[in-house]
Amino acid sequence: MDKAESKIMAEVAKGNLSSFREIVERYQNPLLNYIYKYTGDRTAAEDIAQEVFLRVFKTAEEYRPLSSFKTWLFKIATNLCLNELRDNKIYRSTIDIFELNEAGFIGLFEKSPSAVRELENRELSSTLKKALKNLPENQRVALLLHKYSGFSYSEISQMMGCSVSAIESLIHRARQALRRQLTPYL
Amino acid sequence: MKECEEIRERLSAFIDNELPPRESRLIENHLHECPECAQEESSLRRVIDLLDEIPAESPSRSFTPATIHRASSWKRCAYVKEHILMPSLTILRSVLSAVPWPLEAADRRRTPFNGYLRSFDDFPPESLSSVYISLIQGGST
Repeated sequence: MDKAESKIMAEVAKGNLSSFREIVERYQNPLLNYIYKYTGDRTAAEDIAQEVFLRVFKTAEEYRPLSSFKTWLFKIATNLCLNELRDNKIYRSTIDIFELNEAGFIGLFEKSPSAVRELENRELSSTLKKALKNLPENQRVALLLHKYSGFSYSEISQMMGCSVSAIESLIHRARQALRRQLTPYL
Repeated sequence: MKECEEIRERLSAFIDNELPPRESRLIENHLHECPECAQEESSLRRVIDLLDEIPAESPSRSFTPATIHRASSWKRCAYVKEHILMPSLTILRSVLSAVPWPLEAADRRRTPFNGYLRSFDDFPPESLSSVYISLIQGGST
């Protein structure tokens, strides 16, 4: 965590709302995207992201700037996602924009080549989200933290409480599993 | 082909630049010589590239204001609880415990009124009702 960020967090710990806003604005995009890819549910992702920030505000006093703030934040997010999934609060539907649009498929097809491309992109995106959801939880967490949030194996190992070689193995297994599921697109 | 198996197990770490330079060079050299492992590496890279096809999401416009609003409400509640409610309850409790009750303690334990109160022990902890009942019971024993 850089010095400026640790100062901001010290202010948040005092209840300073404008410092809290700075934290929210800085991290809302990467956090939302991580949670969205984890859950596959846009609405749930926003609810969980809000809950994560609220937890940061409530427990800011407990934060020690020895470790990276981003690591701390994403650890909270991962724990909340796991809890939500275990409590079945997140709907198991993989939203499927493709399925929602299936009825309008012919209409789109007749419209323009760009509409067809759009549909293909949505289908691919939907398939990818399903494939991610099918991964075992620990593989999914490790892969997403690396791929979309830019954490190193070592940082992920700290967050997940396991060795670096275990993280290497989780990420490798996740990619192999995705390759099996995504063969038609490779 | 034990070497190939070992190399393939480390391909993800190699792609992610997570290996020490020496090991990374060894794998790179192997990939130049072994088409099967090179094929394995390129298929893993395609999987990684494919994951970029999931579009990035942006938070809704109300996300930041709603989050700040929730934090602000929590802050107000925490302040009221810490600086107003808890001190008031402490004072109330000490006042109530100092009040001389008309009945003897033993009699009070036997009265239907107190027995009735004791049956009210299933309020959620820290709820106002629970605090009230504990104050009444605390003051009467």
